[in-house]
Amino acid sequence: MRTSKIRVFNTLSWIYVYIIRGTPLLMQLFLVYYGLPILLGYAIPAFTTALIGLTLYATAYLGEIVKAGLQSVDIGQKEAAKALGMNTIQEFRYIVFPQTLPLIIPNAVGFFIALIKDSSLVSAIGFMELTRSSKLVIARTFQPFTVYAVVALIYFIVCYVMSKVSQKVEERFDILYGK
Amino acid sequence: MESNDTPLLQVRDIVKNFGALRVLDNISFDLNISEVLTIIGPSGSGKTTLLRCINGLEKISGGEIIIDGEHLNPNSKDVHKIREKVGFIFQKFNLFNHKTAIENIKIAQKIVKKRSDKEATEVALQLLKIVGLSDKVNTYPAQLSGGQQQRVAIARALAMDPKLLLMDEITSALDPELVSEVLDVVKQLAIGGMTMIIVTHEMRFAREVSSRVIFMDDAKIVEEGKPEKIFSAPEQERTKAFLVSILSH
Repeated sequence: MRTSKIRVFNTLSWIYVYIIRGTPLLMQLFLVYYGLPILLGYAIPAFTTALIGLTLYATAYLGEIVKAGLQSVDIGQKEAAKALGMNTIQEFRYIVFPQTLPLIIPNAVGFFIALIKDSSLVSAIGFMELTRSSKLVIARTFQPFTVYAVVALIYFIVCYVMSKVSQKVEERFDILYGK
Repeated sequence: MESNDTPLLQVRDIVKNFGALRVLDNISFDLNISEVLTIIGPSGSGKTTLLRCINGLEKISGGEIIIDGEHLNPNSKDVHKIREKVGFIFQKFNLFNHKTAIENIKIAQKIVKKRSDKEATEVALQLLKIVGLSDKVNTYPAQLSGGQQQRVAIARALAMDPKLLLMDEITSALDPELVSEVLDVVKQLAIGGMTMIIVTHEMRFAREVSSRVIFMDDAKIVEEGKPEKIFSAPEQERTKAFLVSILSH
């Protein structure tokens, strides 16, 4: 919507993106965790809070990534589509959208890798994710170094696989477009 | 030329403003089938804008444009139907970067003209042969020279069977040694009877290929006539001054 021509949408999404990007994720999670129950009048489970918090955060960043992808397509590509008699939908479907993917995919994967690591923050609001589970294990085993090393390795494996897949996709695009 | 038929293109008193700046000031002319009209003039005189208005890439601020009996209304949902009849060749080629030469020529045939894959392929191969690129069928734009890209762009426009082709300084972005391979294709089209409006700075080419020349300056048509007249015996001082300046370097 940040590429929208309608002013109200544009301003609202601008405010949204700047608030989310200008504040730490941990603060956003606390605000959702302590703020939503005040608004709603009843407590919400940690999982729901984490889900809402991370979604708000991810939408703002992904929105910007998609926007950058759309803006990277040269206006000449759109004009050529129009000049050949394509309507707006055909122009987007066949010409603009396929050309945004080589930019959107690596950026989105990079963002998700960061997000997986940041998701350890939701342990602060009491949600039982990987980091918090590890604390419980430590409480039983008294082996913090080993446990945290294993946890770090799990994060690493997930992120490493994602970035490798993304690299392969990028290489495919490069071959495909003859670069 | 006297003709009883309605002109293919009628441009009536069109005006185009960019904010406070008037870039087209009451432009009118007709174009008959198989005519080749060349528009010359200094940069900023409105030539390119005029061309872009004729297929609705720019919206006119006043006047009317009638193509093949249909009024062009850029705000209409159906503007793309008129654009099917009007091919446009861009200065910077604008080939679809994610598609090979043949795919560039096929895509609009299939989704706009609803041709079958087989038919679109036949048309594309035939046109690539005409523009001399039968060996570049599966090549991506990034691997083609400027001249080759522009010839693919011409083939792509021709595949839609346009009644009118608009060419916007199609050799201006090319290295000098690649200009002639593109202009040769255009000459063949002219001989074949294609109706065209050509904006160009290639004066020798304009003289050779045009049936009529319009000289524009400062948003207006200053002079129009047969190429022999415009280039050899222009009546207006501004036309003379322009030709002297462009031919002297």
